[in-house]
Amino acid sequence: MSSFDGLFGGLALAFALINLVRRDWASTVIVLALQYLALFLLIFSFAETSFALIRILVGWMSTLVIYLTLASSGMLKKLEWPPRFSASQGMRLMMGLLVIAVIWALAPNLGREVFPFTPQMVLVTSLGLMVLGILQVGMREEPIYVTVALLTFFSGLGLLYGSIERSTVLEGLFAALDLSLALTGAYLIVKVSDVEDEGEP
Amino acid sequence: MSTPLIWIGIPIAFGLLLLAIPKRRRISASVASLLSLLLAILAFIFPAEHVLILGDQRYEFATSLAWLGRSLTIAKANLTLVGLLFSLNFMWNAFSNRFKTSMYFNSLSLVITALWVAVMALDPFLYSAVLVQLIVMVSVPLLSPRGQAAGPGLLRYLVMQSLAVPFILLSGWMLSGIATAPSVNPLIIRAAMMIMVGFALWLAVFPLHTWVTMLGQESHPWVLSFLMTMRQTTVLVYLLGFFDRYAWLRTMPNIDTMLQILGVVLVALGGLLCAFQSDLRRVFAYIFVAETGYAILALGLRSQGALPFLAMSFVPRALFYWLWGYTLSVHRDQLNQASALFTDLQGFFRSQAPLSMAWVFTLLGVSGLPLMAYFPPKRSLWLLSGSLDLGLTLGLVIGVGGSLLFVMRLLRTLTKNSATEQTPLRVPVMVLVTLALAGLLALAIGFLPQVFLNPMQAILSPFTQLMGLP
Repeated sequence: MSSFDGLFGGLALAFALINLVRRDWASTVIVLALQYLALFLLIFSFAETSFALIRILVGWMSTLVIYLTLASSGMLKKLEWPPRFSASQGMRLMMGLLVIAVIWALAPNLGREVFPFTPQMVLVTSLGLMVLGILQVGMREEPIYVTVALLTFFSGLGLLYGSIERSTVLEGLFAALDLSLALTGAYLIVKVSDVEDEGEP
Repeated sequence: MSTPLIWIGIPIAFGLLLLAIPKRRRISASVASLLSLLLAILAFIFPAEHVLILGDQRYEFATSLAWLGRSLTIAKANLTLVGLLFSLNFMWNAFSNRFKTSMYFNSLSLVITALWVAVMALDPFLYSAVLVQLIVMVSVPLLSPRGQAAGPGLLRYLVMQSLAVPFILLSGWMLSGIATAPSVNPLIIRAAMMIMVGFALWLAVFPLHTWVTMLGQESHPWVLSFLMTMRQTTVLVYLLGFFDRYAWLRTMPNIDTMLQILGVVLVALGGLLCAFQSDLRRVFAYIFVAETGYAILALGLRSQGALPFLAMSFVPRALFYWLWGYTLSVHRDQLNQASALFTDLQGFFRSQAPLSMAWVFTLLGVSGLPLMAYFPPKRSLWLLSGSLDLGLTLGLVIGVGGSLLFVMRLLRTLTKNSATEQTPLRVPVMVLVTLALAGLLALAIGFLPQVFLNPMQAILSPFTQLMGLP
C-alpha cells in the first residue's frame, strides 16, 4: 500500500457522497467517472496494474454508456453553478457522513475477524461504497440514480472481493455485470422516448 | 465438442443471433422452441459415457470447458436438470407469439436458460452468484417492454437481487477453508445466516417478496411466470449444492428444525395472504412464496427422506405456473381485458366459462388437489410433516386453507350476477384445445407419477453428500 491509499479511498467515498447528495444528472455522470478514477488509483496501490486497469476501463465504459444515453435523449441539462444547497441535501449528506463514520469505527474489528487480508483503507472504502450505494437506492426512484447507485454498490463489492481473492473469471463476470447494468440503465432511461419509433412493445 | 458448449454456448449464440431479428416473431419463436426442444431431448437421452454413435460415426464429448482459468462442467448427473430447464423454455416459447410480450422474449429466453445452466455448471460454484445477477440484468427488457415507464416493482427487483450477490459471494469465501469441518462457532453461524439471507432475497421469501407482487401488476404474466419458474427451479437446486458441499451447513445443530419451521411459515403466510387478494395478477406472488415454503420444508425434512419429493415437485409446479401464466395472458391479450380485479371479474363465468374453469383448476392443482399432478409429492410432504410435529401440520392446514378460501372467493366472484349484461367473449379454438391438453396432462401426471415424476429424482444425483450416496 502506498501512503496515498487513504487519499484515494477518501476521494472515492467523497465522490460517492456527492452522488448521494446531488440531484443533477450531468454532475452525477462526471462524479461517477471521477469515482472510478479514484478507485483505480486505490486498487493500483495494492494490486497488479492489469486488475486496476480493467476496473477503470469497464467503469468508464459504463459511465460513457450512461452519458451517451442521456445526451442522445436530450436529458442532459447544463450544470447549475453555483450549486444550490437544500435542506434535504443536507440531510442526505449527514446520513452519508454518519454511515462512513460508523464503518470507519467498525472497520478494525471487522478487518481482524472477517477480512484479515484486506488493507483497512480498502475495507473502509469498499464497505462505504456499498452502503452509500444502498442508501442512494433507497432514496431515489429514477432509473439513472438507481443505476449509478448499483454501479457504486458493485464497485465496492468488486474492490472488497478483489482484495481477498483474485480471479480472472470473477473479474470478467464483474466487468460483464457493470456493463450490463449500464446498458440496463440506458434501456430504462430511453425506453419511454422510443415508443413512437417502435410502434409495438 | 463439449457438453457446456452444447447446452450453454449454442443457445447463447442462437439467442444473440435472434436479437438481430426481433420483429420476426414467428421465426424467433420457432427457432427458440425447436432448439430448446432439441436440447431438452438430447439432455434426457444423452448417454452416460458421453459418447454418441450416429450411424458409423462416433462422437465423444468432454464434460468440461476451460474458461478464463476456471471451468464449466456438465456431467451426465446434471443433465436431468438441464433437460428440465430447456423443456420449460420450450413450453414458454412455443406459445409466446400468441401474446404481446417483449419482441426480445424468444432470444433473451434462450440466453437466460443457458445462463441458468451456466449457474449450475460454473466451478467454483460461488461465482455463480454474479451469473444470477447477469440473468437479472438480461431479464429487465422482458419485464418492462418499451413504451412503459419502469415501474417501482422492476427497480425493487433490480435492487433486491443486487443485494443478494455479496451475501452469497462472501459467505462461501468466509468459510472456504473450513468447508468440511463441522463445528459451531460464530463464524459458521454468521456465514450460514448470510447464505440464508442471500437465498431469501433470490427466492422472494416473506417479507422480501414484495417485488414479485409488484411485478405481477406491472409485467406481462407470460414473462413473469417464465422467469420465476426458471428462477425457483434453479435456485432451489443451487441451494441443494450449498448443503451438499458444506458439511458445516448441513450438520449445524437445529438446521433441519429451522428449515421446517421456515418452510411451514412460508406456506401458511403464502396461503393466508393469497386468501385476501382481489387481483388475480398479484396472486402469483403468494403462490410463489408458498411453493418456496414447500421446497424449504422438503429440505428440512431431508433426514426423513423428503428430498425426492422436492425433485418430483418441479414438473407439476412448472405446469401449473405455465397454466396460470397462459390463462392470464389469454385474458389480457386475446380477450383484451386490462384488469384482473375481482370487481371486473364479476359474472365472468357467463362470458368465458373455459377460462374461468382453468383458473379454478390451476389454483386447486397447485394447492395439491387429489388426483392432480401435484398431489403425489405434496401428499408425501404432508404425511412426513404430520408424522413429525403437529405444529407443522397446523401451518400446512392454514396454508392450504388460505388457498382454498381464495378459490372459493374467486368462484363466488366469477359466478356472481353482474349488474351489467355479460356479453360472451370468444377465444380461439386453439386456446380451448391447449387448455384441455394441459388439464389432461395434469391429470395424467397425477395418475401416473411413476412415469412423469419419478425420473425427476435424477436431479438429485449430483448431490452425493446430501443424499448419502456412495
